[in-house]
This record gives sequence, C-alpha cells and structure tokens, in this order.
Amino acid sequence: MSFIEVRDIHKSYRRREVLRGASFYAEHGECIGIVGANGCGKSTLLGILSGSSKAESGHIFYDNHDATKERGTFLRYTGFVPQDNPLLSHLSVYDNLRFWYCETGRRIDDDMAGGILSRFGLDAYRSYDVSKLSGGMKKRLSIACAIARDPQVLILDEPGASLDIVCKEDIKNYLRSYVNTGNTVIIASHETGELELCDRIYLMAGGRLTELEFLRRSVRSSADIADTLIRYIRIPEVRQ
Amino acid sequence: MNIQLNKILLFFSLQIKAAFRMIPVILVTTACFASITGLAAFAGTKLLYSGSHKEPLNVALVLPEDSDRYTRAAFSFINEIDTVKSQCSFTEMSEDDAFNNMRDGSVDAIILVPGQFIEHIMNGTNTPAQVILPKSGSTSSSPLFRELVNAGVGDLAIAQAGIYAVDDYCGRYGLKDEIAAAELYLNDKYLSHALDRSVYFSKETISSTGSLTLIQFYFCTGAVLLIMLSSISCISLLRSENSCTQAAIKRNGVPYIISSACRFSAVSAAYLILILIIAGIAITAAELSPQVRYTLQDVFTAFGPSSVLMLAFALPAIFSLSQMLLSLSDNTGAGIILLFIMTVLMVFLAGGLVPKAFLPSVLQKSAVLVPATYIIGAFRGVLCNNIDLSCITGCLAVCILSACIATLAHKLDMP
Repeated sequence: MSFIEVRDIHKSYRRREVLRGASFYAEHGECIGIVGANGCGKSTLLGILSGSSKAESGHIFYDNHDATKERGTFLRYTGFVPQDNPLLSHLSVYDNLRFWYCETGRRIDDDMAGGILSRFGLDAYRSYDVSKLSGGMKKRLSIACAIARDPQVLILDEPGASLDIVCKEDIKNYLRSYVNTGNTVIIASHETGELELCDRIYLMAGGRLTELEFLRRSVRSSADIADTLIRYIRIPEVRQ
Repeated sequence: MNIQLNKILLFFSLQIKAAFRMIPVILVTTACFASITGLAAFAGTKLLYSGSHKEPLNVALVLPEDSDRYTRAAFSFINEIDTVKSQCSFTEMSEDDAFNNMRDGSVDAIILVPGQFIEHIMNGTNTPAQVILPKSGSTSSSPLFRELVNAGVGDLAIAQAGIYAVDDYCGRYGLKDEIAAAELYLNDKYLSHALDRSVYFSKETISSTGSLTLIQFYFCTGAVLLIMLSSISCISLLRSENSCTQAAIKRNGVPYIISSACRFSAVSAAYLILILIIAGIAITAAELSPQVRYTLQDVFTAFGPSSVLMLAFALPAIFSLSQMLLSLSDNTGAGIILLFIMTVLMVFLAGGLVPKAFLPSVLQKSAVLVPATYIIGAFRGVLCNNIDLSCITGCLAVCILSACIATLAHKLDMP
C-alpha cells in the first residue's frame, strides 16, 4: 500500500454530486498536482483530504491508517493551506501562531530565531495585525500555521493565486525543500510554475481523478504542462 | 471529533484579547448609535409634546390699601394650590400698574379685591371681587380663567351656604357658644375637601410599565437596543472571517459551537468590563455631585452585585442573538440589515417600545417566546439590583438556542 491511498471518494453539495469516486495515491517525497476547471471539485477534495470536511463514502489511508474512521489521523499527518487564508485577522501574527503552535511541542521563539518563521520573514512582523499584512505575508503565515505540527503531508489549494512573483518563488523553494526531506505535497493549482514541482499530475473532471501520465516528471518537457492544461481544460466534458 | 481543552481555553483567551483591543471601536460605535437614538427621542418628544405646555396666566391681584391679613392669607393660600398654580400666576400690584400691564399684554386678568373682603364673607355682606379681563388678546386664556374663577366662586358659595346653615341651626337651638367651633370645623372641611378632591377617592396605581418608572422603562429598552446595534462594531469578532478559517479552527480542535460561544462570551466580557468602568465613574461622580446623584436616582433604584450578575447573563444573550442573526445571512451587509430589523421587531414584541399592556392580546401572549423579553427583564434587574431567576433562565436559553441555530446554519451552508 502507498503512503497515501485515496479510494472512491463521493461528496455532494446541495444535491449536486461534486466528487464521484475520486481516487489516487502518493508516496513519501512525492509532489502531486491536481488540475481542473474552476468549480470541478478540487477544493472539496483537498478539504476532505485534510479532514476539514467529510466524504459521504470512500476511504483515505495515511500510512495504512484509515483517516475516515480515525479522524485524529488527519491532524496527525496533514497540514492544510486552503485558498482563503485561515487566519484570525483581528489578532497579531504572534497570536495566530500561538493558536497553531499550541500542543505541538515546538516553540515560536525558536522558529523565529533562525527557524522556519524567520525563513518566511515573519519574525519582522510578529506584532503586526494580520489584517494589515500583505497577501504574500498572509500566505506565508498560513503555510507556517499549517506546518506547525510538522506534518508529513502538506495540502495546498492554489497557494500562488494573486501573489507577486517573488512570493511565489519563495513558496516554491520552500515546497521543494519540504518534498526533498521525504514529505509529501498535494497541490491544486493552475500555475505552471507550481506544477513544475509536481512528480505526477491528476486531472479532475466529472468528479473523478485521472492521472496525466505523459506529464510525469520523468517523461515531460517543461513546455508540456501549460499546453496540455489549456488543451484539456477547454474540452467541454472536463469543464462540466 | 478532536476537542482539546487547552486549545479551547487558548482560543477563548485570544478572543478576549481581541475583544478588549476593540473597545475603542465599540465605544465610538456605541456613541454614534446613542447620538442617533438620543436625537430621535428628542425629536419625537418635541413632536409629541410641543404646544401642549403653556405659560400660566398672569393675574394681577389688586388688594385694598387697608386689606387685612386674612385677605392676603386667603389669596396666598389659593395661589399655592396645585390646580391653581398650574394655570395662574398671581402677582400683587397697584391698580394703576395692573391696568398698564393689561394694556401691554403682560397681564391676562386683574382681580380687584374690595376692602374687608373676608370679613364681608363671614358676616354675609358678600361684597364681590371684580375680575377684569381684556377686551382683545388672550382669547384662549380669558375663557379659561373665567371657568377657573367660576369654579372657585362655586366652591366658596357652597362653603358659605354651609356655614350660614350651621349658624342658623345653632342660633335657633340656643347653641351660640358652639358657633365658633362649628365654623372653624366647617372652614377646615370645606376648604380642604374642595381644594384636595383626591380625599374622596381610594387610590390604586396601576402602571403599564410595571414596577418601573417611565424613565427606567425606556432606559432598559434604550440600553438593549443600543448594545444590540452596537454589536455591529464587533462583527469581525462575532462571526468567523471566512469558512476556511472556521474549518481550520475546527480542524485544530475547537468545534464550531464552542468557538461561537467563545466569540460571544469574549465580546460580552469586554462589554461587561466597559459597563462596570462607566458605572464606577458614574458612582464616583454621584458621590461628588448631588445633581448627578439625583439624575442617576431617576434611573437606578440601586446598583450592586445583583446588577452585575444580571448583566453577566443579559450581555451573552444579546451577543449570542446578534451572532446567530449575523450567521443566518450570507454577507455582512445583509447581516447588518437583518440584525437591525430583528432587533427593533423583537424589542417591540417584547413590549419595549410600547408597553405590553397596549399590545393586542395575541402579541402579549407570544412575548414569552421573544428573546428580548428576557433580556429587557434582565436589564430591569440591573437597574433595581434584583435577581430575577426567570430572566436568568431565559437568557441562558437564548444563548444555547442561538448557538445551536448558528451551528445548524453553518452546517447547512458548509460544502
């Protein structure tokens, strides 16, 4: 069995069946990309993978643990960065981190002094209100909150959307190093730059996932991703 | 579900911190709403009562040069009677001044009192006093004054007839020694009963505002309206920023219903502290200034530990209700409109705007189902330093129901 096994996930929202048997797998040290048209169910799937919402049927295994039966597995294995930053905007950066660092065994001050928080540049903003941060800093803080528990799987929903090129590059570099340490990344994105990180890419259409095997890192060329995405997502069946 | 007590306590403490940081915003918003409410109340009062208050009639009293002390005492006594004082203002002046003042319009009527006026009443000579009204002007005042004089003359005529009857009776049956005592007794009875008619009735006060004065009644309503509407300033605290944040908080071990309770409890705590600080300032000011003390006594019968306890239940009920209403709407704008409409409607149904006694019986009966009934009731306890268990239970029920409805709305809205 692979490190992550997702089998036959079904989910409806307001009588509309969004996921109709989505399945995929991932191994340690892999980066998995999920692409698809807007509203196809990518965010719903990522929400289910992180335990933020429940699937109607199907199974999700993390390291042989069925997370659909043991809900604690989600929190133990995954960190989730949703599309909207999951931050308490009326609190400071430090207070937000306090909430996410609670009971993790890690110390914020240590991470601020040369750790991951200083790498994201958050040490200079520790007393700032989140509402006063730029979009890029908010996204960095969201990622910092998501990895507070040292999860083995990081799930990101369009992390580079509406960020400047420097911020995108910083996030990309961090994700590369995260995967290189043997962790797994699952990322939904339309950004070719982010998808270049991915070892394998799945296309979501009609509530199911199909691996685009010709986009595996071992066989693709860098120009293939953008061309393929445009071509595939234009197909009416894929857009539904 | 992965519920972790430490995280809940941390989340609650962070919410309290955020609520206290918002106190300046809360104060400004509350002041704005208070100004608007005050302006509306002032305008309404002016509209309702303008023109109903008239200056009393100015009556010139011309006493004879040789007037005895009984005459002066009699008119002085009449002038002090409430029913007369509310309509007339007697000023003693010379005859010339009286007529000059009537000509320039500063006097509405003149009473020319003859010499030995009282003595003549007593011996039956009855020299009349002349009442002079102007030919023009004071058109509405003059008939009023005439009615007033006629009523007074009628009272005196009855008193006089009674005294003559007793005099005759005593004279016929050889009780002349008793005449003085009988007259004294009758004078006392006729005057006191004629002037204070309330002695004829047994009084029972029934008020639509219950045990509260009108000022206290509307103070309660105003306070509830003001606090509920000022919760608009705390929207970012009362409702989650977005569904992602809420889902993440839940994922991190704080379920929606508990995070909701933390949010409205934190805002309530900030308001409680704020109100206690204001109450402390008011109490200190009352100790230093009698004028402030008298003003506060009009509103607060007492303020003590029971008031604080009632506030501690009323405020969470208000903010849980606001939170629930805000959670029922998709966006902030719609939430504010819903909050405003529902607040006014609930306060009306609870008998906060118009006393319940004046509402149709169906509405009176349905008031028990309206959350504002218990919140306003709790505020009455705050003013009177009373613990009302039914209101405490009602406020608790409002908190629990509101949190449950908000959670249900959140679940239905979730993808």
